[in-house]
Amino acid sequence: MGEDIGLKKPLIVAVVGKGGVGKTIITALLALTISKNYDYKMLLIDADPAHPHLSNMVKLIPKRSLEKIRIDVINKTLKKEKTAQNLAEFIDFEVYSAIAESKEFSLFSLGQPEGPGCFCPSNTLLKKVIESISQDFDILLIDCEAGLEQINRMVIESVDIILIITDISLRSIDTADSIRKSAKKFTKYKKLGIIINKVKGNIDIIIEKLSNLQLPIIGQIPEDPNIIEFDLLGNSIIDIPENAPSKMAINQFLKDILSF
Amino acid sequence: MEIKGIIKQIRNFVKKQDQSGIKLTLYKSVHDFSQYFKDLDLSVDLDKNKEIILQEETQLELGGLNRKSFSLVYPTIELNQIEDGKISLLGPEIQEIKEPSVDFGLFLLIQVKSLSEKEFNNLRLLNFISNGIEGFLIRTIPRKFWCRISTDVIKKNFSFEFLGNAIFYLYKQKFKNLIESMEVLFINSYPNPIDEFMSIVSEIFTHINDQWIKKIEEWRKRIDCEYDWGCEICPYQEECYEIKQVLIEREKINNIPKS
Repeated sequence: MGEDIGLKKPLIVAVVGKGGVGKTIITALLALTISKNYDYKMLLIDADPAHPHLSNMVKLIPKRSLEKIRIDVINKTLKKEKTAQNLAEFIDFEVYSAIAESKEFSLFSLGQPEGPGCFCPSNTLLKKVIESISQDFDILLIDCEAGLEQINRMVIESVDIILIITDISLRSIDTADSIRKSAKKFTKYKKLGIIINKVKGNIDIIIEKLSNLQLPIIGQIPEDPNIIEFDLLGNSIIDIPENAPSKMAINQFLKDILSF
Repeated sequence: MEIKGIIKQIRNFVKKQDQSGIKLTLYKSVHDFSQYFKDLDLSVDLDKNKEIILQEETQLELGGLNRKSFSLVYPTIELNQIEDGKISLLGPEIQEIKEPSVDFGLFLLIQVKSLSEKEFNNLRLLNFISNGIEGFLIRTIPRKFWCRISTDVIKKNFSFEFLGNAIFYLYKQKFKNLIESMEVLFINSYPNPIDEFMSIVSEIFTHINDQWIKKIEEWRKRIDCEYDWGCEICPYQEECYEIKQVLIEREKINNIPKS
């Protein structure tokens, strides 16, 4: 049995950042590290509307996306195939059925927006279902390719922890600053911090800039040849060894992320 | 709402099912829970059995997507006719069930010393037992029921008698000093009695009070709209209206007003 550090449950963690900084890989590594060290039930949300990268990385492919369910509910409602009461009774089953499961964690994906139509009430409906389902988990870990506004609109209203991933480029730091502004607007987060990814050489200038912007650093992940190989060969992230520099780094600051 | 009258109807319903040939088994909760769980070699403890039971590890699903199901937890301070520790089972025991899934209903009646709105809502949340019972996984679905029981624990004689005892034990652990008495009814394998039971307790489900009407109105207002062209000319008017009805129906399902 793993450790229990007394989480607020469910703890909702959103991983955000500029494209290409390694959000999805870090989300996957966080998921693997949490499941190895703690006895928590975890739900991963692949919120990349274009490509289900997270699903592929952790080898959990849901049969349906949330978007497919949304379209299905709208169609059934408009065609009067089922009554509102009937749909209301089964919508939670539908969403639960779209969750892929492993012993380590569960996962569902948002999917790509399809077809015309109004998203407002259907998003509210699905958000209510997700909020209900999330009660069955200790941690929700969201890979937010979609951005915080979209997460707020489509997945869940409150986020507890926002992890902004940057690399060692100044542009990614500028993006981090914009994300913080967006986070203040769209979420009521309790903790926000930076994880600097792909660290190599002297990054004093990056650290100074983050300090000037008052963006707290939670941890640094060194450039990892295992990850480079993973990207190159398309291997599973599950197979990255425990002594890989990236995994070891996450192990060091994981407790700081989860406790606040 | 006359809860005493509903309880009387439920007792008559159970008797009628028994007389009609549906198997009724009555159990009484054990005195020494720890020893009972130890003897069965089944672990029961608050938050100590968090596990995901995968489909391939599952021998039996109670309720679920294509099954009739309900779960109703009713906490009250009014009753004095609860038969404390009574576990009633309508339908076969787990060891006798051969299908991979069955229709299932669970009615848990709890008499408490005091009942604030917060306590009422917390007591209704049955799903915490999922993390407390070995080989048992509940998926939270408002008012319906869906759970998985693993092959491993069924081999160890996981039964409805055990499940009833585990529920009593976990509730008493979690809500120390609050619970006076508890009684549970399980119905499985027979869809018609499940429907009949639902109609008996429909008064509990559909009892509408001022608080509830207010809640629906708040809900109608809370649905965000991203368009600023106004509802009158909105091309999605019909869709919006219809989906809002689903939302409102789901909210109704999610709420059992306090008596």
